[in-house]
Amino acid sequence: MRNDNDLQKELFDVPPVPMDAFSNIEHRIYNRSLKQKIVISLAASLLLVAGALTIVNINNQQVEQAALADEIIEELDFARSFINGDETYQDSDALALIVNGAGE
Amino acid sequence: MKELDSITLHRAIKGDRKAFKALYDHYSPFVWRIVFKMVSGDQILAQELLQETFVKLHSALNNFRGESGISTWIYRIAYNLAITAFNQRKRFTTLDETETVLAGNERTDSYDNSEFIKKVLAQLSADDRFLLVAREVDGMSYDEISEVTGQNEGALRTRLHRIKEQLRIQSEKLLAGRSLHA
Repeated sequence: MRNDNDLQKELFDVPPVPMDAFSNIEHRIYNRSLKQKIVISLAASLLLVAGALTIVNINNQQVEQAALADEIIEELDFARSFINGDETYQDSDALALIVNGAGE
Repeated sequence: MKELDSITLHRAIKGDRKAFKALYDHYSPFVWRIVFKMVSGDQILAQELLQETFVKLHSALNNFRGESGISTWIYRIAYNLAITAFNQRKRFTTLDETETVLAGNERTDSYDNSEFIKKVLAQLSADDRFLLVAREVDGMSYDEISEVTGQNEGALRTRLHRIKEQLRIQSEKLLAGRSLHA
């Protein structure tokens, strides 16, 4: 090099760190963090709603299934009574219809 | 390089904003010098790289295990970002431009050595400029530079020698040109 000092001088010749650099960095870091928090909160809320809906749906299904089960049990009881000759059921209109129908 | 005290560093890792500001104040002049020189004095690009370095650093601080110095770690982030930017943008002075400057300097007495050195440095790759600044200005050891760049120490020594030789040859060319016109 013509003069090593010239090279050193040039290498050291750097403008000061821009004043607004850190505020930009903070903005990017903490603004992003805030956005992330909002997204996470939204996602959590959506999950909660979806979960609640699922529970309601399951509950409804359970109610429906219970009603259906009751109906089936009732039908089975009826069938059992009919086979056993239970009078309670023999007196019912429905049974009479079946018996009459079957008799014809 | 003198590292930030471990208490402040630990607080910064834990997410303390004031500690992160202290970390920034401590290391930003070094990062700024490296990226500024690596991108040949493109101030806008250098500022983008400075910001990106600290944004990345902030998001990765939790992963810092202290296996190497935090300065080496920060340098590595800045170095990788600058190399990527260099490859993407190619905003550097071409050889033709440098030769024009040399020719201009030879013809007139308005010889500006600083401008000449700037142009000669601009001929170097970003990687070479990093090596020159890290070693000659920041006084990093070859071991530290090796950690940052992933290149072995022997290769780095050879390359720095070659860079200096290249600068010397360019300088002699200039001097020869001036003698002819004297």
